[in-house]
Amino acid sequence: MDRQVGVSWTLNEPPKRSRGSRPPELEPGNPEAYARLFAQYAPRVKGYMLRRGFAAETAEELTQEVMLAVWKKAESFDPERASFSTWVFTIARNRCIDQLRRSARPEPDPDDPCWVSSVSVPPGPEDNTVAKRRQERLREALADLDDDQRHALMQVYFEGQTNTEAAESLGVPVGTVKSRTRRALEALRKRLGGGFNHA
Amino acid sequence: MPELGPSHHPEPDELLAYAAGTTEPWLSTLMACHLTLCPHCRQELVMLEELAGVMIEDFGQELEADTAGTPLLPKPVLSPTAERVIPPRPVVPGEIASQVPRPLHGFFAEPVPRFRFLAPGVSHIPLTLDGGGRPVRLVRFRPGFVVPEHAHAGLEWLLILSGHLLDATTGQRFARGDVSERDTEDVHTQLIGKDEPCVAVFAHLGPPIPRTLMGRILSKIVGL
Ligand SMILES: [Zn+2]
Repeated sequence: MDRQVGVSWTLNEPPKRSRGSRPPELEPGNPEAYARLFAQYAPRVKGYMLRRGFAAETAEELTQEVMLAVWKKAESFDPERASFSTWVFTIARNRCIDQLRRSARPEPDPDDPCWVSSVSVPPGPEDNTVAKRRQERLREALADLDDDQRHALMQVYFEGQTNTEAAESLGVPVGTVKSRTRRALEALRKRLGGGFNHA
Repeated sequence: MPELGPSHHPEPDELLAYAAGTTEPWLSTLMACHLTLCPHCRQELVMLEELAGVMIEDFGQELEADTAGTPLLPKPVLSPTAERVIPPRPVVPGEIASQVPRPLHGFFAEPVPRFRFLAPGVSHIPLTLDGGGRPVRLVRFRPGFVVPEHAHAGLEWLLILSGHLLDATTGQRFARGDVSERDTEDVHTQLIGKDEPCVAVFAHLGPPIPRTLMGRILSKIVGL
């Protein structure tokens, strides 16, 4: 029923380092390390930029900028909060948004007087392990999804289409696209069991 | 464990789109406001961003583009924006700053924003933020105000900043941080809590279609 567009997403070998930790490529002051980091991530970042609709030349420039930003900001990468790939993704995504709008999008700000804090336990020494365990659960849940459902989710992230654009390109109503991604999210959540945040 | 914060959240596909970076600017901004007020959705967002990371690691081979000929470093001349430009933080008066989440502060047209009369019991501040061709705005209703029954020619997306709003059609009650989304086919009447004024951020992606004579008159005045 769902028309398949573009690529099929198949499982491939994950990178061979322990996830969540700072990769050795980020050792400061080592140009060879930067080259290795570039070789590992630049093809995926450039592929992402191309899918978000940038021309080859722009995609290339944006990729260089993202990789340099990753390198320069390595100090601020916190393995307790996110995996390295997630961090690279958020930098690429934000760069992409800035380029599309020619301005930064407003972000929630913990220093905002309006900020409502969580009553959950503040981050402690256990957090790193908890974060890694959550990533593992997410990884297993994702691998366990139907191809169709995983495809629907990956399209949202990497085809870079709004719901309206996706509906137009598929020739279906917006509601259909929304319920398709909603069902995929529900399936993922079901596989995560008691909730991602209550591991 | 009970969580502080709102009980009505944006649709799951909207949070997903926010994580993916594909939401329209007006929605990104209002989502950022909700996220400021909602620890629950911030946790969800962490999960959705982490999901992207896992996808890149495990399924990212198909994403790969050829970078064999790509120089490692950008040409400095071509890339003046390599560093993310953080605009200076707008200064807004204390009263507004304590009520309105910071992501909206850059969209006030006046240095000292003031609610202006719109109709008896309703005042507003239009923002310089485009929501589908119509300005997003702060709207303040007097206590006990009734928004007459209306349908919508497009999505109605609102975020409560203070006071209470009751959707008389569904019986749902909305307070600070809560999001109410009504789509085109929904007809509803909204009641404002009797104890205090209610301030909400409104985006109307199409004009409301009033269903009663009072509603039609109100709609002309209010233009909501
Ligand atoms: Zn929420």
